Amino acid sequence: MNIKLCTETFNLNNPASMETYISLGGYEAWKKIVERKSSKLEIINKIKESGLRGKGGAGFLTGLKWSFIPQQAKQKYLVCNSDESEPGTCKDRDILRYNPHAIIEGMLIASYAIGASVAYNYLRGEFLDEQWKVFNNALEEAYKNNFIGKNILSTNISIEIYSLIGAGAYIVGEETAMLESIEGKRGMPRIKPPFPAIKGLFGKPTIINNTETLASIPKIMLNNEGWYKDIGIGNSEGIKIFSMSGHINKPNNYEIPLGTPFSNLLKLSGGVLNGNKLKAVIPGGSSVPVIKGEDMMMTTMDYPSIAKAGSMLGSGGVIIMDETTCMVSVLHRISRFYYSESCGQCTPCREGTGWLHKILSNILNGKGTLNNLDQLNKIANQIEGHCICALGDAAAMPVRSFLKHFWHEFEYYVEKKESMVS
Amino acid sequence: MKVFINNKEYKARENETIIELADRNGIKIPRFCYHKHLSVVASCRMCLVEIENIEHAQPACSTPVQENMKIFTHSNKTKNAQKNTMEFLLINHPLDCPICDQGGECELQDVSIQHGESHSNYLEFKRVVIDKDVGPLISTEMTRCIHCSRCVRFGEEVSNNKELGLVNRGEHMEIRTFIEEGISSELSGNMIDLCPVGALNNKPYRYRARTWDLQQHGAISPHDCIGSNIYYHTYNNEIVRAVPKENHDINQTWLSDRDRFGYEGIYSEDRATKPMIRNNKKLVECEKEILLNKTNEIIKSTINDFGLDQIGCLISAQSTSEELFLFQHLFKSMNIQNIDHRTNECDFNYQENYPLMPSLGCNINDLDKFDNILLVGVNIKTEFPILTIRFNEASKNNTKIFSIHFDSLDEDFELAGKIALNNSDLSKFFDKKKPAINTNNKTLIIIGPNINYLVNQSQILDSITKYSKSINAQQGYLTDFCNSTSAWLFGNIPHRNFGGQPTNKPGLNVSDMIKSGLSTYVFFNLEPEHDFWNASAVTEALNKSKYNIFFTSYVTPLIERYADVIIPISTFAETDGSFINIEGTYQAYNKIVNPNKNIFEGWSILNNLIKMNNLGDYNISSIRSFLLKSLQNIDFNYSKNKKFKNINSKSITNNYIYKNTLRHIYASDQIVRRSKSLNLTEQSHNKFIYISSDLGQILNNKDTLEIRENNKNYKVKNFLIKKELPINTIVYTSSFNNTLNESKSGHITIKS
Ligand SMILES: Cc1cc2nc3c(=O)[nH]c(=O)nc-3n(C[C@H](O)[C@H](O)[C@H](O)COP(=O)(O)O)c2cc1C
Ligand code: SF4
Ligand code: SF4
Ligand code: FES
Repeated sequence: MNIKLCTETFNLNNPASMETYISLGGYEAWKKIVERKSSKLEIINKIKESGLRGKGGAGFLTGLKWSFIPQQAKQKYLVCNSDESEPGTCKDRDILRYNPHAIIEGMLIASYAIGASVAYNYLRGEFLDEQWKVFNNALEEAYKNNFIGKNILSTNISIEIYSLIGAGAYIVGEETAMLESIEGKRGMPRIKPPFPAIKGLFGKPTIINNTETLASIPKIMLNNEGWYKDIGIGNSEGIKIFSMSGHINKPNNYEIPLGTPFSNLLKLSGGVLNGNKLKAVIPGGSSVPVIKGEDMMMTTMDYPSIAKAGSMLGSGGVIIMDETTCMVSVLHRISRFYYSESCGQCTPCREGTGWLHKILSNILNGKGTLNNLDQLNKIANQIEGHCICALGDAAAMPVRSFLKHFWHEFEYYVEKKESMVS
Repeated sequence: MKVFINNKEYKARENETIIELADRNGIKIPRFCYHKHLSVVASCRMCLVEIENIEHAQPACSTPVQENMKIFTHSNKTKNAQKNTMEFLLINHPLDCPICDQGGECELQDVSIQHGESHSNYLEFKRVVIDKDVGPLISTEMTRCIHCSRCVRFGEEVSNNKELGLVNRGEHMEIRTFIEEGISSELSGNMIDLCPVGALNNKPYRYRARTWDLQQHGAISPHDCIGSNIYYHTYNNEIVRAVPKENHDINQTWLSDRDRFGYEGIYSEDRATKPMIRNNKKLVECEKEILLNKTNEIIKSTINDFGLDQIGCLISAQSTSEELFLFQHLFKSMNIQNIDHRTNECDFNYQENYPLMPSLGCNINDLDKFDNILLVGVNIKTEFPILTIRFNEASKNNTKIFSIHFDSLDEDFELAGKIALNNSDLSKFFDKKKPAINTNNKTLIIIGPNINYLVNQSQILDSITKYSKSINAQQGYLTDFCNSTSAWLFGNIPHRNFGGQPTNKPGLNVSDMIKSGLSTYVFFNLEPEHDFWNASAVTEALNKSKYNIFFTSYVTPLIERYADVIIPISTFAETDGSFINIEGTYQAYNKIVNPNKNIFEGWSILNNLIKMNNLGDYNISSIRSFLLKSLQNIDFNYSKNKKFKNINSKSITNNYIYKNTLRHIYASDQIVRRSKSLNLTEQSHNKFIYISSDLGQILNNKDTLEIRENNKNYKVKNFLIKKELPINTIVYTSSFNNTLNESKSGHITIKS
């Protein structure tokens, strides 16, 4: 099967243009909805039935999320999360620059379905030079063609879409921190409940979806019921982009049906660099537990299979590590990321991420002790489950999995004051 | 709803959080970020508790209770979770408790003794945070900060003056002022109380004493008419600091900076410390006996030689109820009727219509029940800072608040409208233009002391009263001193006696007493330099009179020059006292510190004179029980039942230039004026003379104002043009009146 959704335009000429998108059936779904004044419930049900899961990390069922919105509320909002900052993940970045109209059409359909008259797309600060411009151009084109704005296609439907750009904080990717940021406040996650679907942006019901999630919507709506579901396997319906990076011959974004064996994906991306042996894989962005290479080879790329192997599909950022990789340095690097990206409000995350990083730095500098390794585990346990948002867990999970699978390497480093692999 | 804490059943309220339920039932849960008057952020993670069937311990401050929820506040899981949080909090904390002023009352110290470990697993370097100088009232030691954000939320949610914020992320997060400036909120001291650790501390109190050596005395703050409840902490018979005493109806858990630091004025160097009488033109120290005899002799001889109406008795409304009662009792029993407390005023034509005593017109708790509140001639931010919190609550509760004033002043709550009018337009405003409010709604009109100081106060009060009657609005007052209520009620006015009883022969008001040059003046608790409408007129009167008797806590230059008798008296802190606040609540307190041996408690020295003249003999409890009994019999509908007297005011035309004075926040009474710390604040540096832009144009870039007032000429430099001022207006901040040849408000001409 060679179905493409979000990446459909990627290899065409002028991928981001309105013509290209329309030539592939773009805006057909939206036109139909507008012309027929489709029922909101039907749209939500179709998305529910498709089994589409959020591609932002948590894999939450999109249709189910939409159905939480109180339909009778007057003002509602849709937010598209294009803050993509998870290390190892670079799919939204390409959708934004090669297929922006799919995002726009997805945002329109989602806004219509939940009854939002205003939608925001929040892009990470580093997208300022390219994606920001491309997306804004597309937005302008769509406005010109009256797909957005007042009285869309001469009906009484009106939806406004605004784009916003962040200032470079990873934490703003967390949905409630994003809402704070849109409101002009410091990007710090809120406590849940209340969930955004009940009390979100400016206190109004709000749905936040990932860029890829929303860009998937138009084709799901355009095709018959069951189409999307049939692409994948049970419990992991559909298709997903995997960002292949690390020790790999052809690093790139690959959009493949869920359930595809990992070995196929590895082949597709040209195999491990220099034909080296696969040592370890982080399958879903830096926040998820690492899996040993041999275990990874047994998995298929879908939610249950990766979960069985002890990790998560997350955002689909697959980081490939070959036998030359020093696991101590990798974990040290990951810990630095969370240390500098913690927003700082929760005590365990603020203090714990710094502590983890300092201990790992000491180990790397040859000043570690065996006791430090237990301490790392203990601190990770103290953080996990005790914070406001999932960043705390994201900082803890890699630590525990690295130590679990590669304890001997850490032990070696502490004792010999040098890496086992170099 | 049934909820179980530690296997015991409790009745919980719908939507209640675990911590609220626990607090109501006296079950202890440690916390840092939670505070009942602030929003819940659940970020410190100190209050984690085990809940049955939930994997991880959950924050009690943000988790709502559910039917049959089973919570464990002492289980191993709970203890572990709390211990872990504690460990995280301490790794970057300097643990410098021995030199920290918070020691002994530090929430971190308390919790860590119960939950922490005695050794540290953290061997890395601790975070160091550079300290900031945020002003004279708060000292910072930011390395101790545990980032609970209480101080930040206070600014955002309670005082509505966002001065502290979070900058940077993660471990580098810091609490600081956004711009390199100090904290200037009038309520800033509350952040000291809120800060659970020693990061924000009381600067003047720094290193003065350890908390466990302090004695605590409940009292009532004497610096405004709100009557905030306060604890003074003393060490060796000296007040070393003040903190709020919770009173849900008045100041809740808050205190204004003026109330918190004002007491410092007690320790000013110009305290009157010994009895003195003038002998051969020189003041000499004397015994109490001689002092009393001399005082009595002066009063007696004035009455005998010059007549009852040749003695003028003036008392400050900052005096205690006991003092105010005995003062008028002493003199009125001798048939002296020249008694007044309204020393900052000059237009008394409205006095017959004035209520029995000033009152806010509602309870402080009920301010948010009005649809509209019109503030006339009052700036809450600088005159009644504690009420900023209440007006904030009201505006959040959809009360529309308007400001009508002779100046355009900022408030820290949302104003629905603000209008600046000069004196003449102010008096016409309520007759002609009228405020743009829905008059069917519940409206409260509050008149501030700045109106009382105006040359045409009677005209303005008259028009407001007629207006508020016509729309059925509630009319209220805020007064300049903490006890103007008692001063009015107990008869420290020339035209009414105790309890508002009529007199058949009204005495002179303060203005006429000064103008007509009496033989003898008695001043109680008043500074001639600052506490009068026109200081130069007072100087003249003191100069011309035969005798001047001063009951005073301070010896000012004018007192030193003109006093024939100086009776050193207690401040509020050195005596048992009571005040009636502006909602009419009588609040009494006991002596906080003992006065020096030659300083007399105000009430007791008055009682000495009363006894000498066989006019009775009182003690604190007998005065209090008398006052309380009388309060029950007083007819508070007094002015409603009275026929309204028409006012003939001096006619006011547009051609005048009006010079008005604003009360300065930290010059509002004689004690506050002497508070060292408050004098160092930014507010105290902000003393200006503003002129309206039309006057600026006339002046044509000249840098000197040549003013003619009451047939006197004087010059003023260093003035600023303020665009928002109404035409023909000059506004002074009060401390400028030191120059003596000025009145607090007046009609002037300027030479252009
Ligand atoms: C620390 C943190 C960072 C996150 N960053 C992103 C991000 O960059 N992009 C994204 O789509 N979701 C991110 N998420 C997940 C969002 O909170 C949210 O679950 C997601 O946007 C929902 O969209 P979906 O249901 O379409 O997946 C992040 C979550 C956390 C806890
Ligand atoms: S877990 Fe970390 S990033 Fe998330 S809210 Fe708490 S401190 Fe901020
Ligand atoms: S300064 Fe004090 S109140 Fe403010 S955040 Fe730090 S610890 Fe909390
Ligand atoms: S008190 Fe509950 S998390 Fe701070």
